[in-house]
This record gives sequence, structure tokens and C-alpha cells, in this order.
Amino acid sequence: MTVASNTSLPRRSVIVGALTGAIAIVTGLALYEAPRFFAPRYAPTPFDDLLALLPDRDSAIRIGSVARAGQKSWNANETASRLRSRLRSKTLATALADDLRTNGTVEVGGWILPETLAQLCTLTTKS
Amino acid sequence: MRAFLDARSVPSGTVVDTDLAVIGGGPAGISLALALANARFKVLLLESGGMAFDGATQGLYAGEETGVRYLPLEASRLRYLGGSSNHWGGWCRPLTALDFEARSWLAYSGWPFPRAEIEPYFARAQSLVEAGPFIYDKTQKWAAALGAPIALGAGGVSTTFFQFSKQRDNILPTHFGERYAEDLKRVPNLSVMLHANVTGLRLSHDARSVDHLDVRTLTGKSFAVKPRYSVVATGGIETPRLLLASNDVMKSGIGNGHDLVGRFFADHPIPGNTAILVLFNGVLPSYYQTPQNAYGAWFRAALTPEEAFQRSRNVLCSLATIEAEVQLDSLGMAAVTETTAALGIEAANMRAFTLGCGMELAPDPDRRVALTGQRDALGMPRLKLDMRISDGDFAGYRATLSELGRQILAARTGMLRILHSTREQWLSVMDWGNHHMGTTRMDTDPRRGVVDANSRVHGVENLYIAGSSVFPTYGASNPTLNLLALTLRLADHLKWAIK
Repeated sequence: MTVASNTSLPRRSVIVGALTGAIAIVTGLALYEAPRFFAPRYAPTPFDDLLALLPDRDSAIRIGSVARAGQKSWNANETASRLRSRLRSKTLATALADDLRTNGTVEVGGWILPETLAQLCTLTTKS
Repeated sequence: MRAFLDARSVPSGTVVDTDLAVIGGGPAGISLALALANARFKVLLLESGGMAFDGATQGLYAGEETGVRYLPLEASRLRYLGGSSNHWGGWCRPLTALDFEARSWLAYSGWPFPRAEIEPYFARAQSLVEAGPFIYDKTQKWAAALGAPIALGAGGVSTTFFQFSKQRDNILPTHFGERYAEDLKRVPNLSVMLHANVTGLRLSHDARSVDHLDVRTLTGKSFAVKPRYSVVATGGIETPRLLLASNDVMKSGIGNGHDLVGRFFADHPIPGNTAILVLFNGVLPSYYQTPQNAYGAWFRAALTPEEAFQRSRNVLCSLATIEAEVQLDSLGMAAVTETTAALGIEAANMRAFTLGCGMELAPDPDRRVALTGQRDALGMPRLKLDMRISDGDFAGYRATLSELGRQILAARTGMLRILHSTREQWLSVMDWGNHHMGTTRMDTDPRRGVVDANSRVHGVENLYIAGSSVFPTYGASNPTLNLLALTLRLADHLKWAIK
């Protein structure tokens, strides 16, 4: 005696179920990877270790272009060297708070900013 | 009750005798007359205008303005009983103790007495302008019920308070003529004469005293007033005009032996939109933007440099007010986004506002009024104002704004953008307070001042000046409350001096 045919799934249901699952997995993966896929890509720079500290690169680019325009002489390597020295033993937030405490502010387009942040932003203008 | 007299009905050639002539029926003149009620001497208050605006009388104020753009001379004052109180904004704040000091970083600074000398008179001055209880910087406690002040943190800028004049049963500030007309009529030893233009102070031959006043009307009447003492209370522009024009005995003008009359003119620059202030939590107590009422006082907050900051950074006083809410541009959004994220500050509810301000000017002898060859309808020479403002005046205020920006960000409360950096940018938003000061400045040394510490004109034994023309420095506070305190002090002196 053979197994009754009403205890097994119809082939069509299996195929539909498998396809639905596959689509869900692919969609989930796409949503997970999309930000990385569509994120702005910035050209690598010798200062990426510093630029990685910036919370918002696009805002930093906007600030950096104005800050650079306001400086008569600016050297990216010297700026980076000073920043690495300043940030060697402290977080960015601590460095900014120190700037504010010690009157270490600059004007960028009129905005009063901590000097460390303004200098960091200028590095975004050097590709 | 004595009705006001009308000079237009005085026959030409009349000589009117009195003990004290008060020339000018503005806040200073009216307050002086009221303060001398029941004195043992007679007082005659002479006012050029009538009870209301009159174009022909107002036209007597016309003159020329050169230098930095300034208001037309006939537009910034009013020439009828009550004077410029007929259009003032009612802002009141006492000068600070530092305003009276000789400051090492400010040439020509230093009053001949400390603030403590006029402190006893502030309460009565406050009552005259009907600004409620005298609380000012104690207001912070009262204001707390309406919301905690902006957390500025430690630094050189702090919150201070204006109070506001409100005439009884009115929403407008005290108009001294309208408000005190009936009170003036009730003073038994006082006569008030309207439409009386004093066109000359005539000195004795030895120039040591005022012998009589020439008075003319626009209707052609001409007579004399012969006072034993005189007080000129015609404001910071008209007072030097009268002294300079009275040059028949002293050719350079009365009190002008050292070429000081008319010099050191000052006003308060009130540039609009000087900065943008961002508050991260978006909370702004109402009393920063509009006057609020608590316990009978109308008050509004402003931001001012602390005394220690002024001393350490050699800046002058200023009073910044928070004005309209604005949207940030792309740079502003980037600055706020990056800075708050880097510092770990929540700013999702942030709001931005413009700042206005009133600034203190440095004394400048070349900022002055002088006579011209033109004459008005009464034959008096007209004036020319040479208006100036230095780059240093702007730089000082920028330093204060920069400190506010540092301080408020260090406190994690907000950020600041200074909107102007060049002189041209500052001048493009320039406006003026109509506060005319300094032109007959006070100093014990006649080589440095026109009046002495009692507001008596050096070298003229029976001539005094009341009003803000005697201010040697200006502070950032509106002058009315302060000139009234000085005037009340003068009243006490005159009660002693006039025998």
C-alpha cells in the first residue's frame, strides 16, 4: 500500500514557498547593504585617519571649503601633523571642549567654531 | 492751578524777572521744575513749542549731517512740551559703575564722581518714567517664573535686564508733557511759558554770569527774561547750539574757552541683525524677545559683557537683544550638524534667532556739532553734525560676540554666527538710538569739560546744564533714566545754591 497522496505538499506550493523565501532573503540583504552601496564614496586621502573622526563628512566639506577660503596660507600636511599630535591622547569631543575652554575658537563664515574642528574640516578639501 | 503762559501774547520789549529760568520743556526740564516745587524761589520754564507738534517750530531743528549716514537733525527730536519723550521707546536701564570710571583703555573716560553719587536718585527717576519697581538685574529671580534664563555658562557675557516706561492708563511710554502738564500747573512757584524760543544767553560784560535771555516767537515777538540763575535743558544737540550762538561777549561761545562745546557728540549705534544665535534645545523664554510683566514691572532681557571681560579685553559696553526667528542657510546647518555631533549634543529641536544691539561709542572730539552760516526763522545759526564711528567701536563689539559664541558652545547650549566683518557691512545695517550725548561734557577741569561736577558751566557762576549733553562717556544704557537721576541731583544742588 502506498502513502496517501493527501499527506504531501503539492509541488506548486513548494515552488512558490521557496521563491517567496528567496525573494525575502534577497530583499533583506539588499536593504542591509544599500546604505554602503549608495553611500557617497570619497577619494582616499593621506588624512583618512583624521577624517574618520568627523561625524558628518558632507557637513565637514561645506565647513572646510569656507574655512580654507578664509586662510591666506594653509598646508595640509602641517595641519594634519598638528591635529594628529593634538588628538593622539584625547578624543575629538575632548579636544573640542578643551578648545572652547581655552578660547581656542576661530570664525568660519562668521560661525564661532572650535579650532580643532575647523582645521579638521579643512582637510576634506585636499583630495 | 496756573495756566500755561503763551509767549506769543507777551508784548515785545517786556523784561520778565525770575529767580531760575529752565530752558527746555523735555524730560530734564519738566523733572527739574517738578523737583523744585515749593522751593523758596520762583521758577520759569521756557518751552519752544506748544502742547502738540507744529511743523514751523519743528523746522527750527533743521541742519546738516556729514560723515557716517545719520538721521536728519529735525527727525530725531521733537520740539514741543515733553520733547523727545513724545516719541521715545521707553527703554530704561541704569548706567553701570564701570561706566563712571576712568578706564585705562578708553581715552577721555571718567566721570567726576562715581555711580554711587547718583544712586539715591534712581528710584525717583524710575517713578518719573513710570517703569515700575526698580529691580533691573534683580529681575532674574522674578523672571524665573517665566522660564529659566539661557544657560550661558561661565564667561564674559551675561544676561541683564531693561525695564520699560509705561504711562498710566496707556500702552505707550511716559510722554512727559502730556503726563505732567497738570502737575506743572499745580506747582505754586512755577510758571510755564510755551512758544518761547530762547535765541541767546547774554553774558555780563565780564563774562562771569548770564545777565538775561533773549526770547523770540515765530510770530515776531521779542522780549527778555532776566533770571538770577539759568539751566539749559534743551538736549544734546540744541544745548551746544545755544551756547555757541551766544557769542557776543565770549566770541567762541559760552563755556567754550577750550573748544569743547559741541565736541564729543555721541549716540548709541543700534545695528540690526548683527549675529545669529542658535539654541540647541530650541527653548527661549519670552522675556528675551518681548517685554513681559511681573509684579508691576515690564522687563526684557539682553546680553551684555561682564565688567571683568570689559577690563580684560579692553572692550566697551553693549546690550544685545534677541529678535526674530530665522532659518539657517546650508553653511549654518553644516556648522550646527557637525559641531553638535562631534560634541555629542542633542540638537534636533534647535532654533535660530537674529541679534540686534546697542553699542557704546568711544568718546571722539572730532565727532561734533558746529554752527553753519545758515540761519533759521528766528535768526539763530543752524548746526552741522559731523558723524563718525571708528573701526575700533565695531571691533570691540565683535570681540564680545566672539566671546558669547565661545561661551555658549562651551556651555553646550548653542552657537553663534557673527554676520558682519567689514566696516561697510556694519554701516549697511546701521541705525541710531536718537540718544544725543556728550556735547557739553562734565569734568572738574575746564580744559577737559564744559561743566563741573555740579553741572555748572565753568567760568559762568549762574549757568547750569541739565540732560545727557553733560555725559562724558555714554555706556550702552538708554540715557533717559540716567539723565533724570542727574537732573534730580542738580535740583538738590540748586535748592542749596540759590539763596
